[in-house]
Amino acid sequence: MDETRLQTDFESREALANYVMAQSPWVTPAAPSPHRGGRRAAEERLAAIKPRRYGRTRNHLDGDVTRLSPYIRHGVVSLREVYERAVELVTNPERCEKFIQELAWRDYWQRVYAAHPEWIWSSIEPYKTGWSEAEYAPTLPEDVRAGETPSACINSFIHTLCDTGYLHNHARMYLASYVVHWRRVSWQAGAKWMMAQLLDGDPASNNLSWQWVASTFSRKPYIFNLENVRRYTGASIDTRTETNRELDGSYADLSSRLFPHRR
Amino acid sequence: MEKRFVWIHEDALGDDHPVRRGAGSVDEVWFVWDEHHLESMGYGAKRLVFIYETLCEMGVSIVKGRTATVLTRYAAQQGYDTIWVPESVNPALQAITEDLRAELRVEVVADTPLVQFERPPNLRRFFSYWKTAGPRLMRP
Repeated sequence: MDETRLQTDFESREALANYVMAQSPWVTPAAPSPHRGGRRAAEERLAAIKPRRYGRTRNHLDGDVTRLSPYIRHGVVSLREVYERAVELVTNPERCEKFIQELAWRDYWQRVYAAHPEWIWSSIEPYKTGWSEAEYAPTLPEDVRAGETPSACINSFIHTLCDTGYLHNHARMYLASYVVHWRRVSWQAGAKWMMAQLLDGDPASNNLSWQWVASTFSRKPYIFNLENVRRYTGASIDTRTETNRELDGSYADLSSRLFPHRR
Repeated sequence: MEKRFVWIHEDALGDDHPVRRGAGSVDEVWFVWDEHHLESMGYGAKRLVFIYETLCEMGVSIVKGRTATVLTRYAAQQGYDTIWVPESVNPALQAITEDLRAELRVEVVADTPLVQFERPPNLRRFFSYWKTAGPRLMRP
């Protein structure tokens, strides 16, 4: 037998991580995520879900989200298992419709991927922003990559993403919108970068969500403003006007600033 | 009980996946640490550690090399004529499955779906899909 069997027993998580880096010379080394892999960790998360509160608090960065997505993405738990657990807790599924709908989004993206694998890296529809595809930069600006943009809250989201491999879904949408609409960078460049940071990113959920934000898989571009970020983030995020000037303004003002040619 | 040869990939790291369920611990379950595939998927360092520690907890064999080459060679050495594979929508994993099919009998096993449809749902937008999926999932 000449295949190389790899080690599976380690004294510590650090030893495991060092070994994985040694077996993966193509990747830029980084510290492991605080989110551990494995079925035991997934079961702990599954035992802690609050499907009813999820519906009321999910958009807040400190809301009752499950953080099960890395485990669902890699099949450690199935969507059906999470669904059955949620229904068992609330008895009537109508009491956790938003929670079930979120599971359905994942199922939907997977089905779209299966039916149209060519949509993963190509715009499904034209941008509805007044800008043509060619007017979006093909690469991610260095200040975005480094988390040193002019907007403090965006930098905070970038650092959380890069340090943990996880970001609350609402913050992902803010970040994607910032990259595509404020910086006019192609959704593909943003999606590729985010995918490399995430524990849970998959080509369907990640890229099609970027297309939804960009407006190439939705009727209009998704944008936000500083007031919205303030409403959904806690005190740990810097949302002062003076450190987030480019995000400040009404939706109408921002829309005309970001999409001056949009009809 | 007949011993089976199972290849698992990063889309199906569940102990309860039907590809493994009911087969017992006599199966040989392999994950291939395939540089070519893992790099092409764009997974970062944190993700690779997450996948690896999940595999260690599962107690499967992790083997280094090009997936189809490693698996077909081992199947030939051990006299396996069939390999069980969890289904994936990822075209890269489907392509590897097709490479295996050139050498072995391949049984592709789907995971338990979130929702069963009689006909494929309309996928134009999420809410057209939800019109069909919703009533099935929201039934008390």
